[in-house]
Amino acid sequence: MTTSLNRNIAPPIKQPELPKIMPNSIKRNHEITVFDISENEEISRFDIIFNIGKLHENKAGILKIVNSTILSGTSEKTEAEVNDSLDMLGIYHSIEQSLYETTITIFGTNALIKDAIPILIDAVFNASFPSDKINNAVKKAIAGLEQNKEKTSYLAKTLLNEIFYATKSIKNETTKEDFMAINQAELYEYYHQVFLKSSFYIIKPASVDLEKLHLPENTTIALGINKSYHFTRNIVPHTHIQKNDAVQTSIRGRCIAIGRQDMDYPILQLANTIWGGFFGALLMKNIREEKGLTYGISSYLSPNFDQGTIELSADISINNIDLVLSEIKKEIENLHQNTFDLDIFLKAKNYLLGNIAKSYDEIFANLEKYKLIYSEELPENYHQTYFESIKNCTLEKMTAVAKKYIRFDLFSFVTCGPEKQ
Amino acid sequence: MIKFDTFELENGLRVIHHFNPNKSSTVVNILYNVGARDEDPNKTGFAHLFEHLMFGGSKNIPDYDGPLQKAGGQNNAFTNNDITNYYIQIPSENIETAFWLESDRMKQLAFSEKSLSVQQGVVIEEFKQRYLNQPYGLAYKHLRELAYKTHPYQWQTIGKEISHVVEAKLIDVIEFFNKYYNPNNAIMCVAGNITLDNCKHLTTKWFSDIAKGERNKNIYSNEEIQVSARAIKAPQANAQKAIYIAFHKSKKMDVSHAVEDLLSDILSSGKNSFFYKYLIDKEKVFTSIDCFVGDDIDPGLFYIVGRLQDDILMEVAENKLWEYITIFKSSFSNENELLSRKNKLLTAKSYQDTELLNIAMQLCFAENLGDIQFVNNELLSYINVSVNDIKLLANKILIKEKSNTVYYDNIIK
Repeated sequence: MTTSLNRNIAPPIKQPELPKIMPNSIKRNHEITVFDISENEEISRFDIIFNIGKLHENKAGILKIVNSTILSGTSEKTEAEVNDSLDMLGIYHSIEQSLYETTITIFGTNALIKDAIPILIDAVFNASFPSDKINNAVKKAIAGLEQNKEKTSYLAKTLLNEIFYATKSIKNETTKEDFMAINQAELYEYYHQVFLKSSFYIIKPASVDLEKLHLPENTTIALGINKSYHFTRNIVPHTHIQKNDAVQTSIRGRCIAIGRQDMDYPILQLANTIWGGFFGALLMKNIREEKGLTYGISSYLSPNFDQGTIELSADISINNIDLVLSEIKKEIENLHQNTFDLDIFLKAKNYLLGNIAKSYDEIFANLEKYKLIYSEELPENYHQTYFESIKNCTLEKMTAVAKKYIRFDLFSFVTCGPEKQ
Repeated sequence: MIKFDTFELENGLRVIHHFNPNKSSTVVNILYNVGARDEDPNKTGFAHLFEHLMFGGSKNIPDYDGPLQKAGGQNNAFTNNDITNYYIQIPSENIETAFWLESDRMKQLAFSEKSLSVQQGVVIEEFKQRYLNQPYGLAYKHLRELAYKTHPYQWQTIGKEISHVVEAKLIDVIEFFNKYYNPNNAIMCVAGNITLDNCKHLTTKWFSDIAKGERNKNIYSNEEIQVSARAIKAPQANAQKAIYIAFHKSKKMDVSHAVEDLLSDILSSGKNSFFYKYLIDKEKVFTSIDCFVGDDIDPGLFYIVGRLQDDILMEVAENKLWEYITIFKSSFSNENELLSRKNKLLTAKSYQDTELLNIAMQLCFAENLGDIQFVNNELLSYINVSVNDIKLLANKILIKEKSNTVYYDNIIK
């Protein structure tokens, strides 16, 4: 006998749990801080993370050019020889710069990455910065900058940075003149006196013997690791930048919030998810799915060490600016007063929990979790606590945190687009 | 090596199962064999618009996203010229929710004027955001229009123009669904922590009562062989001069595809590449220059995109580019260079296979190409490429008379 299928009834579900098996086993050892990754996949990764970022530039743009040219050869090897050696081993590399870190990463198969690590270490710690490579990097950086200046999204974000930050190195975007003023002597001095004297830490495959890597002594703290920055505390409710050749208007909003070290952070993450952090959020439901005014509107938390902001972005037609701003305000009020479909609370919570659980399936996302604990000086059980805080959060607790941080009167908005029709 | 099993329902739904008990989540990926190449030339952008409408609810489940979010799942979709692909990744203990949601919208999507009208607005804003309001945002539109005169690859997935999206009617939507969204025009891959038995059980339970329809025969006009160079000057002004060139290449399943892909890497990937060494480092005519190939099922395009140094004239840059293409075609013989590109591909493939979603998508794409073993055999076609293959192919496709060029020569003052 067969029973007919009732498609109106959803299958039973369970609230997502943290996976019991975490595929990466990472342990910290040695005098130099080193994280060993177990090799349970075909591919592995090696990172050198210098405690130096945009916050530590003594001249605008100088770290960006160091990072663009650091693999351009040593006194004994040309750029082509360095890159030939890495390419032959099938290595991909990337160099990323945040406010307070520079991460140099290589990916390779487990069989070949061991041979690539010494090549990378030699190139990074003995870089020679030929002047023609610096010139190429400067020209490329200027070209990228000029292109960005044609983007409404970039112009809006640049002005927000100027409004928000008091710390000079992150307040103003690097200009064409800044890049042009960078010369080989200054760059070389910055590399030796600042970059290499910042401390570093390592993430390596467990089977790679640290003693055989010939790492230079970690001279640490010559620079001091300053990870904090200052806000102006200015709030400019709405500024419009007119760009007459634009066919759409970028809207970018920001308010000061908190970093991961704050106890409220996981709850704020949940509150923000409900407001604008996922496809089922109040902003997306209203402004995209009900009114069709944008391809996407989203808000997200941008934490850096012990501080952070809430960011909002959307791209819309110029004539809808006032309407969209008023709907953003309305959805904050709905969030504060719980005048929204309360089912969204459960959806957002389980969406976040499922997302965290899934990230443990991905070896490199999993690795980032461990890295974060170290770089942001978080407790060892941070991710478990984060998960449990969201899981156990009540509507009342979420609302209280939302009222404290997600407030329309704390936001500054910049729009950039053509003149109103 | 990706391991898998396959089975097929009576209604023609092809199912691929990949088991990995070490993962906490499971992916359900559904590929529909319909893309922008299947559109009426006067109703372009429709496959992509339809993808948006697939999230508007189905007959028994008015809210598609809500139940998935409650179950801790995530989803998204994309459309390209060949296919439309939908995926869900969800904690394995809640996997049945994915079967329930995907089967109901395959069985009977809910249609409404309101949903169509809202998504038309959304897609118009997407058109502006991704193409009209971006520097060089229309470059690939221009290139496709130059390169293709008969094949439907002549328009992009977003559509030829906004008016086509604006003019879409509900009757078109219903016809499109009935024509292409059938189980026998779909391929589903279930990958993750789910046994084959459970996968079969849930597939049969939720998908077996969906009626069979037509399978897309994928018949398109062949593009005639190009015999003379085509070029336009893009009207848009930008901050930097740029040159975009496209050449016709082989189809995805042709043995030449791997050669073309490797050729593009040798020419432009990284600081060890031919173009970087000569056109950026030595001659200093470009600040960046990239080559890449499309993954199109039918014969696609091989692209070269260069951004000029600001003191270099377009004519000078173009002549230098062709001069070095000629040198490459006559002199390339570097075995090590080819070997290093192959090694990098092995790394890239290993990296790709660390994620369930990538595995599920690759399996569906391979099955749609007509040979699921391609998922594991494709690398072999790369490993077998010789230096001579690269040289012969460069001489075959990188020909001025067969080029399609878009010049961005207007500079914003």
